[in-house]
Amino acid sequence: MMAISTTRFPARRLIWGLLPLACLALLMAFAIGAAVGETAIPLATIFKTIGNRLFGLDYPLDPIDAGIIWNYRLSRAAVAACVGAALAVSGVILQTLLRNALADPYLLGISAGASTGAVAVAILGIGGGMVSLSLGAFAGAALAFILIALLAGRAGSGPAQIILAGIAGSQLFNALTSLIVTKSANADQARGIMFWMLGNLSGVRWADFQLALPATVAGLLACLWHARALDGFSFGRDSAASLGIPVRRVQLILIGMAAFMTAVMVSLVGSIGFVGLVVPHAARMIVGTRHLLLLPTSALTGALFLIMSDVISRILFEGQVLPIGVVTALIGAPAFALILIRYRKPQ
Amino acid sequence: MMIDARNVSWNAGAKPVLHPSSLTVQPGETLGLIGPNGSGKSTLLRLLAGLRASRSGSVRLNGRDMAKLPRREIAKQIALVEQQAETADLIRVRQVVELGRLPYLKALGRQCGTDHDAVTKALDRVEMIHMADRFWHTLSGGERQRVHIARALAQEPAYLLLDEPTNHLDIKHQIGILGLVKALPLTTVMVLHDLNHAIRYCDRLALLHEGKILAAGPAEKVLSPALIRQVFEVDAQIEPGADKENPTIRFKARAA
Repeated sequence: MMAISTTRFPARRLIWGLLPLACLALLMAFAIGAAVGETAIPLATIFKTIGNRLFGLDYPLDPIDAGIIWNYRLSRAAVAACVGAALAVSGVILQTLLRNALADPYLLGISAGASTGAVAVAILGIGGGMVSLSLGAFAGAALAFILIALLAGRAGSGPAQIILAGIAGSQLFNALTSLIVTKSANADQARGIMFWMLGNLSGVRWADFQLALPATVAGLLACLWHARALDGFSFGRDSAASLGIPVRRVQLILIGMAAFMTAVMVSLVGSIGFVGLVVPHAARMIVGTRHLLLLPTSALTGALFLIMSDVISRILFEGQVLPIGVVTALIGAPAFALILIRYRKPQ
Repeated sequence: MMIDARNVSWNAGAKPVLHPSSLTVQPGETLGLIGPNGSGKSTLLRLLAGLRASRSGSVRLNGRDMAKLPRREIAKQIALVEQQAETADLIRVRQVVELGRLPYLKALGRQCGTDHDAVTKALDRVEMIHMADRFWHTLSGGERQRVHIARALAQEPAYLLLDEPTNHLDIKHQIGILGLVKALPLTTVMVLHDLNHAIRYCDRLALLHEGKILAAGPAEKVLSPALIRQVFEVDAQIEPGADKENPTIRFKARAA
């Protein structure tokens, strides 16, 4: 009898086996992200470009190819990776702390709030140039979450109420964004509605990465530091408190972190849906529910998912780039339906 | 070594759920909180556990004000078993019990041998060691409650607080859980619905009615026919058991 009890869930060994594999997968995703596009570039050229840029090697290369790879495609893949990781980690946090399998920054209206905040700064000029796009996005994201939490609280705080309040919030903030963008009446900016609501990675450069990477790393580290506390939320808030977790402080810090990461990503690439919903569930299937494993796995899976979604958005229709949110929604909406069925109340 | 609640009270919004009340949990005893639905017993239990901030007075744990103690310190002293705490997580029995070690673990520290032993001992104590690798969602209601108790025991507390631990269990599992709890060498406070369970398994009872503690003391004294009629609005008759150990309460609904 004791022998059975000492067999431990071999999660740790599993992750050490998967780690090199995961790094390889990420590297391959970057290579594919750099190779695919209007002009296909062979993988060998891509690795040579990376070698020249990062390790000071001296391969002879066509400067135009090298420029496309480095300045356009690799920077794009790198930002996509950060956005995917940050949204996936935000999804884990919200699902765990709100005890809701359907929570994600997009469905809860946090992304919509961030869009409104960014648009208010960019187009209305709120803050008079003193406020950056990201800061505006964060203010919008925080405001949206507070409004939605208040509404859900008044409506009874059940899992359904949180999602319904999120839908109400998303609709409101998306309407505000459309209103601001349309009112600006400039055809170029009007096209921006698509950007803010469905996300778009074209036009991102290394400067964007310099903002995306620290935000993602900071968010992930803060969450990892609280990984054990997050485990303690398995059976709800009171249970977590009785296990010695300072519930309010953890919720404030981590939901704040989720809002911050979402806001930075939205200010860079617009709001991209379903990444924060689908990826955490996929990651749970791979490594289980322990957050010390779940968080890095989600980050990595999210990074891969978004790089590949971006590649698909570029090759699905020849000569036309789809907004990346269309691709993530095409994958995410059916996954949402599956999760709904999976988590139905047991009879 | 005691939990001492003085003049504690709690409101749900503007509605008072518990009026200022005082109660002391004596070391080593099994104290039952009884009363009709909405009488404030679960609220009192949560105040004793330090999970709710009292509107007045204070709860002292071994002489120190619980409102000023870090949550982690309280969790090393007091463990709570909620009624039917559930999860949708795909989580194994051993993992659930390991949650009980959280108060002892640093943010990034790994579990050590002591933690592992405490978990195994707790699982053994509730006779669930053979199910340690089962998934939570495959367990029956009685098994889940045992795992919750094992999780609480893994906290190595001095006090075990339980909120209606036998709710929705069949009679065999009700008696199994209460017998298990009674045999633990801990100071225990539990909210109970069944007065016969209360009289059988508790040393002392606190009877709550409309947010007030109406009586507190030895079980036989608190459960008098007069008090039962006043609080539960039923006529009751108390029959001493054949061995004088197991008195039984018989109820008769009153004619309207």
